[in-house]
Amino acid sequence: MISNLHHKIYPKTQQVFDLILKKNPMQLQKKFLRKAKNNLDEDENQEVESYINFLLTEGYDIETIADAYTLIVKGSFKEELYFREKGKYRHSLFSEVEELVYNNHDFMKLYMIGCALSCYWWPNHVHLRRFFIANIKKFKSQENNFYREVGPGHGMYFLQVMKNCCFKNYEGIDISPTSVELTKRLLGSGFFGDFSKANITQDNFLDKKERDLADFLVMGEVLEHVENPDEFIKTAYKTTKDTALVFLTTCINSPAIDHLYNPGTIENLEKLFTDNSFVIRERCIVPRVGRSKEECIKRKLDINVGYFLSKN
Amino acid sequence: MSDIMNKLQPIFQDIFEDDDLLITAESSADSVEGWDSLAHIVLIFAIEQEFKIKFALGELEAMKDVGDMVELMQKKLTE
Repeated sequence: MISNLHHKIYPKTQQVFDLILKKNPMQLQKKFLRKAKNNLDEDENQEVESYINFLLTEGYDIETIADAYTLIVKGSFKEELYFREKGKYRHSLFSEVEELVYNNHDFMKLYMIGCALSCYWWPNHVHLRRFFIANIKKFKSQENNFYREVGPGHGMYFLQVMKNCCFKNYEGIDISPTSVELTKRLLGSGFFGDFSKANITQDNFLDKKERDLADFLVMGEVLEHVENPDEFIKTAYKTTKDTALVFLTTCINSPAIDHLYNPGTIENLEKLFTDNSFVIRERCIVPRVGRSKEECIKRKLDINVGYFLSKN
Repeated sequence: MSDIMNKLQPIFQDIFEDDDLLITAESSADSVEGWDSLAHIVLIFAIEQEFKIKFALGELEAMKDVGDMVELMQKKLTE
């Protein structure tokens, strides 16, 4: 059991932890989860507990929640083995992963739950989430009309914006019908506040259609899933106002079942933004825990990154 | 089995950069400092190369400690 010597007891979180450890015999997760829990403040731990309680009211049980996290862990391990051997991600085309992942409802549900938990339990994701929240709080006082999020997925970033900002309209578009449903249910649950006014729809951001221009566009953990990142960033530019802010997170050397795009270096990634007329306002570079940025590039280890961009 | 364990010692010592590290059958990621998922992958590759064996993903997922690893290696080496 992971002890709770320094923090309040979060019973549902504890149950999930205990079951995860049973499902991961080599104990790789034991130290990791202990540190993960201690890395969070009380509000964050409470958010996780609320999220698990939300899932329980949605009909998931503790075992399924533990399975969802284990799915991410084991999937990452499998893809990491492939990446170490071949030097590249397994898939590079959207068509290869569309049916495997986004249109696979049962898989996608577990995958999104696992991803949501990783937002709190993986230190790099925690770092980026905190970077996001710290910066959007600065945004709060401005008058803004329209927030768009591409790929809300599990809905956790969307939730943070609704909690911390004051937009007149909130729109989320996601290619996966499962993600649309999950985000809608999370926001409408009342577990985290009254956020029912968001409009979440299934849509492909790259479809050439007229869109209202956003004041704030968020794309958290999306870019690594796209086949043509240049087209994606161009579309981000075209669908935002001249005064807009764009926030995105992505990763380098971080294999997953549906990761298609690996920039390889920070320079390659940032060139993608600047070549498409964005200016980098803030950046957050988070190398693998315990490693330097330089070592990560040299040894092809994972780096998580977050950016606030504006237009030239 | 002790022969395999003896051959594993320098591999572990190299990967965890600890010449004094002595693994036992009970050693696991919880008891060895620095044994995270990355170290685990590096270890697996090193063992596969040194012993000229290949672990299946399911086998890797089922291992709980070095003892399980050695038992599996013994089985593969005698096949």
